[in-house]
Amino acid sequence: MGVSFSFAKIWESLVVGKQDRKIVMVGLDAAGKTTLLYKLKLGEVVTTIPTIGFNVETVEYKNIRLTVWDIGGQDKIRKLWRHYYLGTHGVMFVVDSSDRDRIEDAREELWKMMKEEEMREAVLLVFANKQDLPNAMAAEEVSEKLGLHALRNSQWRTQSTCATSGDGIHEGLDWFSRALASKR
Amino acid sequence: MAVSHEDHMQLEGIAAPRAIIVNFGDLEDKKIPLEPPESRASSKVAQGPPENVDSDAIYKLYRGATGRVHGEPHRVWVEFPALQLCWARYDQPAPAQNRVSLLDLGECSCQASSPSNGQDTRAGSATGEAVRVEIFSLNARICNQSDTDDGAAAGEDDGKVWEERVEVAVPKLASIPVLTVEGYYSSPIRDFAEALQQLLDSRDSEGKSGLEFIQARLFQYLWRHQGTTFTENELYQAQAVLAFNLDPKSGVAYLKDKLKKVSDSDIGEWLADMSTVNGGLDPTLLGNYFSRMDTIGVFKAFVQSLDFSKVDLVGALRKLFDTFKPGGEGQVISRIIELFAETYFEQWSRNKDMLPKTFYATSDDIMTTAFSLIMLNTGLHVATKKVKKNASADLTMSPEDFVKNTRRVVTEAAVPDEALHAFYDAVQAEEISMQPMPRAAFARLPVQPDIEGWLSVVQNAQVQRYWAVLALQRMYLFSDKSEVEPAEAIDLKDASACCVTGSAATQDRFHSDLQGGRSKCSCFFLPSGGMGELQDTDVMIKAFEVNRPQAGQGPALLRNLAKTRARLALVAESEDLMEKWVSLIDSGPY
Repeated sequence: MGVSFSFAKIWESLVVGKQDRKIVMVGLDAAGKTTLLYKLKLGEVVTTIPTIGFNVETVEYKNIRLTVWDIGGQDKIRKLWRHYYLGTHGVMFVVDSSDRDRIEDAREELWKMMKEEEMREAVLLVFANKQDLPNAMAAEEVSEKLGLHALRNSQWRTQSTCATSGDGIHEGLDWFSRALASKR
Repeated sequence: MAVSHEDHMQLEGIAAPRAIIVNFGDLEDKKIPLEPPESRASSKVAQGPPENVDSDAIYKLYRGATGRVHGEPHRVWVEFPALQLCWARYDQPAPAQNRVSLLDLGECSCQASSPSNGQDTRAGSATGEAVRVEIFSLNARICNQSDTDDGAAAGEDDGKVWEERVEVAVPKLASIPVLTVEGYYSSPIRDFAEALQQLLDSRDSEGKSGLEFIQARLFQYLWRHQGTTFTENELYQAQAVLAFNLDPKSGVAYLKDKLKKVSDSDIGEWLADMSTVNGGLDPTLLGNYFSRMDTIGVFKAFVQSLDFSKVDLVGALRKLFDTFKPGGEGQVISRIIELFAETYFEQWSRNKDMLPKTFYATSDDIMTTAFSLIMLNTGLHVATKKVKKNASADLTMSPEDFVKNTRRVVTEAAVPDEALHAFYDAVQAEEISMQPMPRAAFARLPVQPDIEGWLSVVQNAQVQRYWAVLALQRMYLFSDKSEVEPAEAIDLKDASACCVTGSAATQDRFHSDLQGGRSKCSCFFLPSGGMGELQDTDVMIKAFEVNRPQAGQGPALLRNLAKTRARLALVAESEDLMEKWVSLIDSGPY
């Protein structure tokens, strides 16, 4: 697949311009999703239209354009998210690395979603957020606690970040865009 | 008025020194000519308020409403400073062609109509009940398509003519409206139309000076919306709103302290009252406040205080989200919707016959349906604004997608397909959003300040800088912009203000204030003589005096700074600002 495949990629990026990828962003309450989402915009001016709805933003990074849906909520409405899972290429999962008490809840949340049929092959980027806080778990520990090694079909990576300062976001996006580009 | 006054200033190139002096108790000062007599005459404010327009109508017109113009969502409002009816796409200013002078409007009608986007013939969809507001111009000539009047329209009242306009054209009602707005049952466009008609009727019966009166005293009118008199308690309320809009936490602290609203339910009820009946809370800050985990109790009381008794689920969501804008996190919205659902279920249970027919068995049925509707709103309206074109083709949901997805969580027994379709149509026709209003200026009602800014109080050779807010006939002096409790509250009910440069007497008084009888150096003046003179003048042209009619009567100007003060010297940041302060203190409400 090598040559012809990458040729197709180049062709696509030249002719089609940016590749579009649909991303869902998930995480427990107060994990830092909103802060992170707006840091992802990387200095772009974010229009604050007083709208009623979920956070949704387009993030352009290199030659890829991510449409990020910030979703979450309690169990009763979980099934409704399936509408967003359809055609989703990737997942950003945000964890508060300093919250050891709720890492198990986070694990449950993540697995409930990754078990969904539509999400089987989604690329998973875990942001081990709030690294600036004392006693924060390192990326490797977060991966382990979330049980990522048991994920069979997905490409994944855990990136340590501090959303407030922006540390680690670039590295995460770099990997994410490469992994997503190779997906169809 | 203010504008012509400034124009005059610029044209004549008049710089300082000049002054405005108006003292209630001091007729001598009042006679000092501030500007040439003719300019004075032209700046005359209308004689009195129009009697047939209530402040509520002004509020509604000022706040505006949403509807569809040529099938596109628009907002419609009255821009009182320009006395124009305006309409524009969401979040955009009105272009010139979308502005019509109130003087050129003929009448405004509001009728039930079938929805413009067609096919909704499903019987009895309450939310789908459409109204069409048609606004006609008085003069056919400002109508794009003139001369198409049919007999019926031409036969209407030709008497609605301004004396002032008679010579311009032969007025007649254009048969083609200048503006047609289509709205829905749950939208305030109907109220807007009624208010507009009331204003136009008053214009016809009481003359256009009434409009000019409103134009000149808009903010006072908006306060009037809160009631004419302010008791001490109401002033505290206003102060609490002001505090809340600076920082919700301090607002709540203020409530607890001054209004003895301590429990979550007290606070929640107060917030509901302020964000619906009384208006004034900043919806974004209120939303941020409710988005926190520790305010659930307050929110619960808040939502229980709202009235959803006569609206279907979409209408109820519109009402809910007209008061605050929640954060966009799924968890936040889910918490809010869950508590909303409990209240709505309770109120709905007392009036189950509402259309479209639903059979909610528990509040969970409402919660899940409502959540699905918020997803729909996000897809149809929010995402299309936020996400760049072509980014993802499948942003929106078709009616079938919506029903299919909702069915994952709600049974057909609870919410039949017909109801879901009716809800879908309603959300598609009009976004669930806050009714647009000029938020920055309006955010602080009922204490909409006339003006706010830095002022320096000069006395006894000392200069103290304050963040000053002029509102409710009081001047609040805060030691800092972020301060909640004012250091001083000056009652301006009978007070007057004047520029210092207006007379030798005021200049002398200002000098003695600056120097405190001794020769002392302060930050912005030098001892008199040479360069000092110039510096002095610079300060002086920005300085003004506030006077109470008679010393010793009524409360002193300053509680803390000087006990028996009847006169106060203040310095604004610029000459223009000084003039604004002076004219606003002088004009008072009415």
